[in-house]
Formats: sequence, C-alpha cells, structure tokens
Amino acid sequence: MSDVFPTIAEAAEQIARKALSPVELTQACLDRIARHEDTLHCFITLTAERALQEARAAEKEIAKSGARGPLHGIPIGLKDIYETKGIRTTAHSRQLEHHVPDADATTVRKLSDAGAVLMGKLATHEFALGGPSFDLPWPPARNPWDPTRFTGGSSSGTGAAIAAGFVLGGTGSDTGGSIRTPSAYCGLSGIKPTYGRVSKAGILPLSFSLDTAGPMAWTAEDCAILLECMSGYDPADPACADRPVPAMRGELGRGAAGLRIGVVRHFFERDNPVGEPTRQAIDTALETLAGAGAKVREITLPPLAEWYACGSLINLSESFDVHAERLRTNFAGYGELLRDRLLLGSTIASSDYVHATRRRREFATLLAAAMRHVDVLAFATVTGEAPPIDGVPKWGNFEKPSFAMPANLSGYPAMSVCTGFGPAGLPLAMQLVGKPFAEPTLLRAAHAYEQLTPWRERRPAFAAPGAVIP
Amino acid sequence: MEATISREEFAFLIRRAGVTVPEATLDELYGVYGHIEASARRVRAGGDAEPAHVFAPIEEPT
Repeated sequence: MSDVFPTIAEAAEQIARKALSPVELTQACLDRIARHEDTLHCFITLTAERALQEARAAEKEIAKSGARGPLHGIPIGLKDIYETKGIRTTAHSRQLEHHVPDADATTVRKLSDAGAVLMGKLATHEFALGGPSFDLPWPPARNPWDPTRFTGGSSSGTGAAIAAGFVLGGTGSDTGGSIRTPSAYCGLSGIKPTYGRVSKAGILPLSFSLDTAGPMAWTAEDCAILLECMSGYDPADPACADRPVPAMRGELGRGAAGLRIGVVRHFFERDNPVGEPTRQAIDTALETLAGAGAKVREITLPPLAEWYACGSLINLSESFDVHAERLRTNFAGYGELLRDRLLLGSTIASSDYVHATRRRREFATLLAAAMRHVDVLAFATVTGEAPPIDGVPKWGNFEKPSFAMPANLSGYPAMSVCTGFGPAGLPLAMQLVGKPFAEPTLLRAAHAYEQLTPWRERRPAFAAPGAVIP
Repeated sequence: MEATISREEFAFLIRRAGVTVPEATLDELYGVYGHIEASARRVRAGGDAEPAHVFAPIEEPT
C-alpha cells in the first residue's frame, strides 16, 4: 500500500466498495511523509494524530452507512492561509507563528463535512506572495521531481505534497498564478476557478479583487471532485457569487470532439518566449486534442506585458493595503521578499490604481469578445522546467510578464495541465482558460487531454518502491 | 529600468507610507521602482473606459 499513488477518484471508488481502507490510505501517506518530509519541507503543521482519528471515524461510518461522497476518507492538505479551528494558521510568516483561529474557513468546513481527512497545513510563500524565502521560521518547500528545484508558488507546499504522494489533493489560492505555477512545476492539475465561485471567508487575504481559492490534485478529475465540494454561495464572503454549483464532472465523459480551442500564440512566442521544449509540448498537445476532434484556431489578445502591468499595480496596491498596519508596527516580522514587494505597493499613486481598474474592465471586455467563438484558450503556464530553488530572481516578474495574469484580471477560470517532461526530467505544462462559471467545460478539456496522454502515469522517481532521494 | 524620479523623491514616497526602511533596502527598491513607473505608464495609455469604480446606493431595507 505504501508505494501506491491512487488518485482521489480511484481511491474513492475503492473505498466505496470497501476494497481500500481510509486508515491504510492515510497511514501510507504518513509513511511517505515520515520518509521524505525532511527533504521536501511540505508541512508547516502535520496533524498526523488527528488524521488517523478522522480516517478511523470515516472507516467506521463507511462500514455502517456507506461513503458520504468521493472525498470521504481521502487525505488532503490545506495551504496554510486557510484558517482552521484549533490548528495554527501561520501564512508561513513569523507574524502569525502562533495564530490559532477559533473557526474554520468556509471551504475547510465544506471539505470536513465531505469527510476529507486533514493531514495538515502546507507551506506557502509568505502570505501567498513572493518566494522562495530562506529567512522565515520554516524553510521553503522543495520540488519532489528534484529537491534542488523550485516548486513555484505561492501554493508551494500543496504542489510538492501532492506530487510526493503525501496527500491526494489540497487547496491553494491564486492571485497571480499561485495555483497554476506550482501545479506546472510539480506536474499536477490545478484550477483557479472563476472569481466568486469559491468562498474566501476565513482565508487570509492578499489582494481582495484578485484572490481566488481553488484545488490542486494529480488529475483534472480530482480537481473537479474537490472544486465541486469547495464551491457555492457564501454570504460571509462579499465577493462570492450567488450561482448554482454545476456537476463539475458533468462534462468529463464528452472527450475533446467538438471542443473549440483558441491558442494565444503571441503570449508564449513573442510576449514572453518560452523554452523550446515547452513550445513543442504545447504544439504537440494541441495536435493531440485536434486529432481527437477539437477545433484549434489562433486568437490575438493585448500583449502580455499590458495585462501584467495592470494586474501588478492592482495586486501590489491591494496587498500593501492589507499589510500596511503590520508593516508600520512590525516591519522586522516579515521576510525580506514579501516586505520589499509590499513596500513597492506603497509607492503606487491612487490615480494609477484607478487607471488600472479601468484597464482591467477593458481587458475583460476584449477577452469576452475574443472567446465568443471558442470554449477554452490555450497558452503557456510557465516558460520551462522548474528553476533551481536558489536561483530564482527576486524581481524576475518585472522582466518577464507572467502568463497567469489574464485569468486573474478577468476573473475567468484557468488551469494548468502537465504536457510531458523536459530535458532535465521535470514537468512541462500548458494553461487552459475557460469562460466564467463554465468550469465543467474547462475541466473537460483538461481531462480529455490527460486521457489522451501518458503523463499521469509518471511520478517523481524517489517515490518508486525502495528509492531514496539523492 | 531607471526611475524618472530622484532617490530623495522615492524615499519620500516610502516615508509617506509610514514605514521606516533601512537605507540598503531603500537603495534596492529605488533600483526597481522604474518598473512600477513603466507599469503606470502602460495603464495610463488605455482608452476612456467607463470608470470601473462605480457606487450603487444601498436602498433602505423594506
């Protein structure tokens, strides 16, 4: 059992027919954690005892009255900005080192009500911005495909923990790519839902108008299972949309035939040129989908730098506002990377923030028009394989605009899917963007691609039976 | 990317935020501030979209 990596869907099916014990599954994850956590640093707080108690309770309940649903007895982890009653929630920051909330975030309650087993709280970039940082109370998470490499962030611990098989799924948050980037570097599926689809009540904020909570997992199907559970109107979050929650797996069986895909080639060939392996992998992925009946056409949008300029002004302004008081009263309580980014936010003029919000509306209108005749957009998530963890430039985003921002600015749902492996043996990725509140179609596109390719069968080498991290 | 304002002017912006910053940090931030200015120039170059910040009065509960 300890070397098996079932997906959530597989484990749920086995648990439902009592072929897999939630206790054995949880123990297998804990065994892997015991072997490799010292290298990967995924957890801020491991809740092993609680996990085993929850797994035993799940097993008993399932034996008596059947599973509540596909998350019953499934080990998951939470990015450590999701507040958890009685369990410290640190945001990976010295500022909140001893912060123990007295209530669960809405999403945490939903996952708990579904019977998920909480394995613990996962590493993040400090308050979900910047990173990797080496001056915080906990080290940064490392990439299971190669521990000398970056996980991406800010949902770094979630990305690493899922790839390592420490948990079967987990939560992230995405303000400017923080779900999609670690999903790309760690070889996962990760979805930033439509802004407003998932409640943010009880999740520590970074940028109110951009923050989006969402799931990360090994497959698009697993993302769909988690997202359906996490979604839904919550009056406690003013940004949460009062919309019905569709069956997130409802379109997975439809395959790629008839899907209309718009490829935004200038994003990754001209605006921020990706490495050749990434470009080839995206082209091959699109050919694969076209071969299965998808219709691919090219779409042109405003240059990536325009999106990034607009998004970064909004993000930095709002982030500074969230942290202004703490910066004034406890400057030394922040790590250098976050502190310096927040300080830059303090220099942005109010008129520039207002201009940025106007541009945001223009961009959203243009995107809606561009997607009128397609179901999803496709372009890059990142430029290549994960870089060395000690070689990530502090201000790199200013030089090379992120591929994430169009979906954050527009609020559209977007996900990263693994498109193979590069010369260093690390994952490559592609980004898919859907229409607002049309996550089932976006998940369908990602699932169809995963079903057509062998990439979900490959796990980090150290996780093979008997293997040891070098 | 060089900033168009002086280091002293930049230091004023930071001071105005009410945060006391070490000189070395101020030097580094001033070195990248030109990127913030460039971003601001980009967003100002946009068209005359309807203001995004509109306020809807809250009606009295009935």
